[in-house]
Amino acid sequence: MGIDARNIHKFFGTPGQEVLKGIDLHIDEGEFVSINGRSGSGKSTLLYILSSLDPASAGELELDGKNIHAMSDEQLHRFRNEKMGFVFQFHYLLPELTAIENVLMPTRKTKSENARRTRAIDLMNEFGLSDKLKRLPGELSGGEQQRVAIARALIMEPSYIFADEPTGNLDSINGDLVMQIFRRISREQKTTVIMVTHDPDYAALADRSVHIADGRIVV
Amino acid sequence: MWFLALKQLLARKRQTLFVIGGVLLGTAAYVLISGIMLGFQGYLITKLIDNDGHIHIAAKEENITRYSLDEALFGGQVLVDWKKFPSGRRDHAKIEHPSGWFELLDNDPRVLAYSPQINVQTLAQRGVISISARVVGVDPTKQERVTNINSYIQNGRLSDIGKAGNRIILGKQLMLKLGANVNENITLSTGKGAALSFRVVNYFETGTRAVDQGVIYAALADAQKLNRTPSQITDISVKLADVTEAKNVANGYARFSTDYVQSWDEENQSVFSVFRMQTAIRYIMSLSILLVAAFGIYNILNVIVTQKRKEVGILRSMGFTGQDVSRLFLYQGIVFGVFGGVFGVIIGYGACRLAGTYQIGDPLGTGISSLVVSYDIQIYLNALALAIGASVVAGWVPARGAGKLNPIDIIRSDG
Ligand SMILES: Nc1ncnc2c1ncn2[C@@H]1O[C@H](COP(=O)(O)OP(=O)(O)OP(=O)(O)O)[C@@H](O)[C@H]1O
Ligand SMILES: [Mg+2]
Repeated sequence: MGIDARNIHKFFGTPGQEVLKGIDLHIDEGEFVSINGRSGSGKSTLLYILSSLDPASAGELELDGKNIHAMSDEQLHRFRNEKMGFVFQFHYLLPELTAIENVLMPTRKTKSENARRTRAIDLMNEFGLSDKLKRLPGELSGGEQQRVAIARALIMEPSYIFADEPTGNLDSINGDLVMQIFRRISREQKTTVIMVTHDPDYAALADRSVHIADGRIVV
Repeated sequence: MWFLALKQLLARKRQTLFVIGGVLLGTAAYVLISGIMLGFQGYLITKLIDNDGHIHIAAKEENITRYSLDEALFGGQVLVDWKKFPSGRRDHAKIEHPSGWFELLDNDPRVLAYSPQINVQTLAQRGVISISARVVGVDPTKQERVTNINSYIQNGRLSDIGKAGNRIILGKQLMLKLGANVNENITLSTGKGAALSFRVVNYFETGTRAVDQGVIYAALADAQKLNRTPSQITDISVKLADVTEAKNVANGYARFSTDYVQSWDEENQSVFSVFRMQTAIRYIMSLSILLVAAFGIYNILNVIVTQKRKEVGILRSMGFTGQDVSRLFLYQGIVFGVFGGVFGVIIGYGACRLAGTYQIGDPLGTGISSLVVSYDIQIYLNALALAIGASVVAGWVPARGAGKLNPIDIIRSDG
């Protein structure tokens, strides 16, 4: 179970620039893994391939023991909706929706927004946003927006969280807050967290650090 | 996706109202233009139908040929060879077998009523003034059932002329030109014998100049006497239970008769070609208006899709499919179409009501002095279908494009 990637290659453009040159990586269920490396080393590329959002040029990927090639488009979308949460550096909230509506957006895919409303409010309380449920994203600070985005990633109680430099745009106080959240959900909910980060201190908080250089994992 | 689609529309109220306004104007214009044009056409058709029966049977004016006299002179056998062929035109046209027609018409269930007539060219005279006019000899009670002549006569009806007795009702203009008055006598002559004196019992005004200036109604027997052709008729006017059957019935009759049989729509073909022209103009105008509205929707949605690229990326990462994303934008197009269409129809209806109060005088003398506007439900259904159809088509292209966006490209380009 968990994520199993075998001999992943990724080429971009023609003539092909090989960004990932054969990645073998196993991530256990409930593990907190950080991915780090130089800018342009292929961290984001690997993260999105592991999440099945971007197809690999070559290699095999298994999620929860299932080869993604064996899954239909429909199954893949359902898996993404129910089992995965994404957190990005720029916290992509839907600007027309209030904070709580943003958090509940993924539940609309399965029309479970009413069933999940209490959980959404609990998450907002937990992240110190109890008085900001009805605020539009434009009325929130960057740190608050990122916490709303994390609450949205967690609303479906996913097994996997993929985060691409989630603290990259935050000051240290807000960055620390985000890391505390990841640490806690990893420990308490046994959620698998895969996080790309530049920050060595934050990388050190993970159970394991994966370092990428020249398209390969170096130990 | 409706939830997000509506939220996005409400977040841009002015833009949304602007686009809806465009569709609304197009729809309202379609309703108004169609209402006025169809109203006018319907009005004119009713006039045409009511004024002159649905089918017109008339005697053919026949030229005499070398065989024309064989039947009368030699009982159909060719016994002589003419040195000089008989030639010329028959003295007057007549329907050869009126009783055959009467039997046929009496027994055809599609026929509501018919009126045999004799049309006679005469010179109407009063004092030193003489004007050429056409006398229509009718059985007034029958004629009343075929046409609506009575609605053009004030303080009286056609049957006031009776079955005989040299009484007439004539066009108002003709009466004025003759300087005649009701209850005075005028003389009518055909050039075939002595002139006869007729008493004016009333006048009619149809609004059609040619008729008001040149037609005199007389009793059938009186007109036949005037023409010295007792018991002959030249025309039969037929009214059907169902007007739309007119062409069918007329074609059927024409097949076994040498008389001239035409339905009202064949007789008024020039009017119908004007109608066709109007319909073409109506469609071109409405389509160009809707095209502008649809182009507006297309443009706005293209802009929205470009602005919402980031959101498309995030929605896809939440597990929404490309189809879900397409729907998000298509729904916005549908909202433009439905709201623009519904309000456009309502405003178009209001505009029609307003146009209906517009006074245009009473050109046809029918007591209807304002613009006739059609409220045919079909106009409104068409308008709605056009508005919604145009928006769906206009929304389809950008929506499809949005659904095909690759989420990873979006996320990477911004992250
Ligand atoms: N769509 C693309 N087409 C061509 N090249 C690409 C594309 N996406 C990424 N690359 C290249 O792949 C390499 C790895 O990119 P990636 O975004 O994975 O780096 P990264 O490690 O996440 O860097 P950073 O720390 O700056 O985010 C870079 O050299 C980048 O230019
Ligand atoms: Mg990156």
